[in-house]
Amino acid sequence: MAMTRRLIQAASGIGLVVLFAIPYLGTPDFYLSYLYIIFFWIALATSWGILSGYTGYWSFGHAAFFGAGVYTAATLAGKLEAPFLVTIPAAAALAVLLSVVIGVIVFRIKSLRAEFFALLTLSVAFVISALISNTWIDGGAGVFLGNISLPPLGTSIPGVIYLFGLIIAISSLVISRAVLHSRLGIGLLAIHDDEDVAEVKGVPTFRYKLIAFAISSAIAGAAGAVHAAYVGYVTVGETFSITVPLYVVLMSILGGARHWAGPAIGATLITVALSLFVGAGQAELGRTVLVERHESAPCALLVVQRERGLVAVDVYAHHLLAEMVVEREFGIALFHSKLGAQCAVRVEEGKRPAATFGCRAEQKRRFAAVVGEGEDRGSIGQDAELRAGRAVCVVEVEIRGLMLRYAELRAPLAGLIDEDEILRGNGGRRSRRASSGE
Amino acid sequence: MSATLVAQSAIGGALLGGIYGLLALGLSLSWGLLRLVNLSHFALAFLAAYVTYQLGTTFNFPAWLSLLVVLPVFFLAGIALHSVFMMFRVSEFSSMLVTFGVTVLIESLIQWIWSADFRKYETSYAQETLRVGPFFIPVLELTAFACALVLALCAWIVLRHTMLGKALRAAAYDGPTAAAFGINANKLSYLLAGLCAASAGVAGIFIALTSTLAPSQIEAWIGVVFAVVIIGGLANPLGALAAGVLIGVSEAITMAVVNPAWAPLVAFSILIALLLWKPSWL
Repeated sequence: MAMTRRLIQAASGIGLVVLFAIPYLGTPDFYLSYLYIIFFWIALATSWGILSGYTGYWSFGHAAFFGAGVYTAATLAGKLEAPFLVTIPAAAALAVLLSVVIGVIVFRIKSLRAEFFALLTLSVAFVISALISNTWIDGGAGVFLGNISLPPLGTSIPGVIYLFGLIIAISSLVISRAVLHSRLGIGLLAIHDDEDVAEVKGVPTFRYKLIAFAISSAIAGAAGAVHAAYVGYVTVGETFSITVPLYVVLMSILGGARHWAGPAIGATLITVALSLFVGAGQAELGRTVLVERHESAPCALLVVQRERGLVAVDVYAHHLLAEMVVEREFGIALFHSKLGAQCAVRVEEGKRPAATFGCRAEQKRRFAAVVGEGEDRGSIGQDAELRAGRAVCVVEVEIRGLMLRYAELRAPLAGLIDEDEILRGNGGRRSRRASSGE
Repeated sequence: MSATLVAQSAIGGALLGGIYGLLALGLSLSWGLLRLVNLSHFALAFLAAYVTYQLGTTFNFPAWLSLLVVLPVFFLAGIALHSVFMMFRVSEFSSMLVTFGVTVLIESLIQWIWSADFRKYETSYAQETLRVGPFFIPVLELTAFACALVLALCAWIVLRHTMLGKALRAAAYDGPTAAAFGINANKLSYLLAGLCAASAGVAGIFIALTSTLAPSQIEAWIGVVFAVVIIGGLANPLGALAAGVLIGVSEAITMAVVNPAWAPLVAFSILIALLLWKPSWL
């Protein structure tokens, strides 16, 4: 027994050293980002488990705390140019504050258990996202974190983010394990089994739930801050999408919510499975921006085909492109934003990617969100012609708010845009739902 | 900001509330009476919308004719889905996860068949409006509202005043005792699941006629309609419609008076306030 224990300790020690050494061994950025995504989900799923897994109070509002962290980092590091290291504790603190305010109100109400707690937390996340989207914090256009100063750790930028992700994932596991093996953890499990009995038996259920909620939110907030740096361009739609709470729940269930390591196992399995089936996903679009910004690569596109609906794009940092082209066959890919905006990217082996970015609003009227350098809000949604050599921008159109948003532009894609690739579509008019408010 | 404009938005919102109510009806009944939180309801509605779109554009089926196709097909689909849930004895809470999985499957299916492109089913009557005094009332939305009202009334009458409805409520309230009185809860649950799916089909037809279709749009409805279901009270058909109108009107007025982007805030603030202050209502 003592022998196995020592073996496990030695193995995990070596594992840790290897994990920390990975970015210094010349690992390609693609793999660092891939591993970072796994760490990110491990941290989120594990943090969710500390309240929801242990007590059975399923929160569907984990995105609220994660999002609070993302936007703390976006505001502090992106807008106010604070050092990145400051944003992580700030993000955690804000998330704790938020969770304590919610917890103090919600945990007092006996009937708010099970699905009603889930719905309430989900609604809170929606409300917070609407607040952020409509105030100066985001304003609807998204926030760019192009100029944030990541601490130099002797690695590439993705390497720094990898290390932060690793630290947060490991801390979340250590904290979760410590909680489970403490008096608090026993109390939390008792709440799961029967809250009323636990209360009668002397478990301070209200206080325990509140503490667990705060710890859980703090980790989610910190993970959010790091993720903001990874994404590089944060939007409300991505940050508060329903996928964060749902994935977190699914991961925890799959791995086992009543054990500290369960959510992490589930997170790893699901992330790997998703990457096999879906490809790297949208988060990498933002990451590319980061690559571009920090390493001033000429432009960045990210293509991942997913059936036909797809999520597009290919990173234009050469090594990456090379790897991805070898690994997968891309045809023309279409990147759909929330509504109507799309990017067509053509990638062929051995060739440079050709891309166009278009936004369709009226039937048979092709339009392109063609923009030069600098911001040019007027050109979107108008009959602009796409010209070769102009920049591509990130466009998001929100359907319910009838809003066109887009963020900053890429450096000119000199010679890369192939006009023929603008995809014509039968794209719909603006939604009637949205237009009913006009 | 003129009073007419606000009133006009309120009318639009109330009519949109009809569609919310239509979607909420099936969800509310299956949650309240079957103890299934059926997220796949939205996906079924969108599947129906796409079927309507396809029938309408390739075969020139008028919408009322696709109703005749959609109703029986979705009734059977609902029963089939329910038999799967029954087979695995899905509990109230895990039903959310299971039906979310079904939603993802249906969403992928839609994406596979119709792609992620945005589609709009254009009809000649989509733009028709009635003019009442200074207000314009879109005929299509009015029809949707009338349909929601009729269905909600029917559901209410059946639940209140027929043996079938009483049996359903009894089985939901206390299964074993109801069974002792000879109620076959199993059979009833299949019937109800089929009817709920059929109502999703009806809602889907109106979604096809009134809004833009894309697989990702499925999620856009989930939050608001859930708020409607909770505010309306579980298994309360008229409550669901009333809540739909309430949310629709408050959203529309927010859009008109404040800013369109604030609209989502309204529905969820109402829901949160309700959950916090009047939990006994639920």
